[in-house]
Amino acid sequence: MNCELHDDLLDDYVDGVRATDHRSDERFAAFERHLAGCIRCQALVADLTSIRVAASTLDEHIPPPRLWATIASSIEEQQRQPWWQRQLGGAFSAWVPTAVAASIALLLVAGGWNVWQQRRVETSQQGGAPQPREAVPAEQHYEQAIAGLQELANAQNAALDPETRTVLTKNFAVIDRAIDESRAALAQEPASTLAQESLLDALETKVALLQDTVALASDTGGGPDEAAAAVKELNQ
Amino acid sequence: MSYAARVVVAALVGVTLALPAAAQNEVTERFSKTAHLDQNGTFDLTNVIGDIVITGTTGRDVTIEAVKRVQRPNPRAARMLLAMIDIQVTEQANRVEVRTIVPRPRNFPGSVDFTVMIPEDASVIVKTITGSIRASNVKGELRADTVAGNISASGVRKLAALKCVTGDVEITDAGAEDPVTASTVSGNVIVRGLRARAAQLTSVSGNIHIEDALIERLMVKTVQGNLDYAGDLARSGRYEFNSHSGDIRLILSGNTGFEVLANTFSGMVRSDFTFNRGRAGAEGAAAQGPRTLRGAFGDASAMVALRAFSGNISLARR
Repeated sequence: MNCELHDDLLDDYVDGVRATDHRSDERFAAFERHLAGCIRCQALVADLTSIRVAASTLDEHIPPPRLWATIASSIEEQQRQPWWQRQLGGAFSAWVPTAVAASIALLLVAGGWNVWQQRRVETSQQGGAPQPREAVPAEQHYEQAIAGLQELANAQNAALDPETRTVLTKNFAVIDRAIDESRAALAQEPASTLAQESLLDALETKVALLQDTVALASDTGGGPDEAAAAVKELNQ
Repeated sequence: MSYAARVVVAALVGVTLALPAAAQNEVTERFSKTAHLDQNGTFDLTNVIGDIVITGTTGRDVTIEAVKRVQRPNPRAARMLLAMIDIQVTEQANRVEVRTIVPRPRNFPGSVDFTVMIPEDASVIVKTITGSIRASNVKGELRADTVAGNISASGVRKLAALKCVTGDVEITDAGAEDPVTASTVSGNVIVRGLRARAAQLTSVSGNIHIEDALIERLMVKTVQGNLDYAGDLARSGRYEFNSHSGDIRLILSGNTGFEVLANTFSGMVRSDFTFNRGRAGAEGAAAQGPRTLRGAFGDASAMVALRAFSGNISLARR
């Protein structure tokens, strides 16, 4: 079987493109003939189709408005600086933590994509009837993102005012309790979809709040040291 | 105790009580500036500490009134700190930018309260660290962001994003063409009248209350708070309510048919509606147990998904 020969047509086929739509391209017709007799490819198409259907029901994720606001203000700020400061100061700007937070979020998405791709390859190699669906280890990706963001948030925590810090600490405790309860429920009932969804929801909320915490700390800190010293003196 | 002794004690108590009030000297300074915006311009304000009130009016002027305030025991120090507060206004490319500049924003012991009138078609971007934001009669896009303070938006026609950490978000008689997000960490989100294609309302420990809203795609989520929705559903609307430990309560008119899927892990599900068949397009009858509810009501044109972990879920008829 030369299943791999048709790999580049799979996406189009799953999207509904048929040989009748591409009469001039013989490859589509060849793929359809191959598909009719290949159980492995049929399983792969079935799996990809189910992923496509599931993906189409997912919510549209709106990026946090603060992300663009932070990027925009950072660009504006950079443009106001002289060229030499732009070259030297960039590496130490307050925007770096936000960028790192965004990178972690990107890694999270990339991790999910890799898992999806891996499953796709595995399915094509397994052959035979479609295998039972395994749970995507999304929890691990969230955990990794949380660990990275937590480190960043801890490092910047001092930049937040004490009241905000207290509120955030209380709310992280609320989320952690939700995570613990969901995990306990999953330990009791490992097949519970509701417990799984609750756990992923709580982890997602924690990632979002950590991202916001890092962005907040970047936004609220700062100011020239000499000015700070003057304010401190007048405050006494 | 003699009369004289009583007078002395009373005087001492009086002085002691009066001391904290006298300990702080407040110095203020007014700031006033008028700028111009052409049609569909943008007003962008970034403050540090202080309340902000923005109102849309007829005309093309942007009128910025501000009061700088500093309270210190030493009046000279208060005046010097007041002089450190700088309000910068820049006009360029149909955009008016206002920036409050203070040294060391996190610890600065002063504030600036803004009252701004803008052309009603202008878009507004407003941001502060500590202080409330109130916007009304804004017909352009509104984005508001505060860390510690409430946000209130009324009569806003293109609501885009409202975000705070420790305060409440209140939306009254508003609309939006693009997706709306309103979020807080510890506060409540209260919506009274919102017409939007899509909205996402979130809180971590606060409650979310929605009434008289017409939203085609609504996502409401909290971890610990309660979720309340009262009113109609949009035909073909899609609604998702998630709370971990709070209760979810829907009070629906029943004018729009809907398909419902409600689940709670350890709470209870209750409904006033009678679901006479299973989910649209699926075989079988409606299913209702103490922790789950699945079924279709009327023409099932809207889709409602309710999920709680330990909270209760109820669907009541208005």
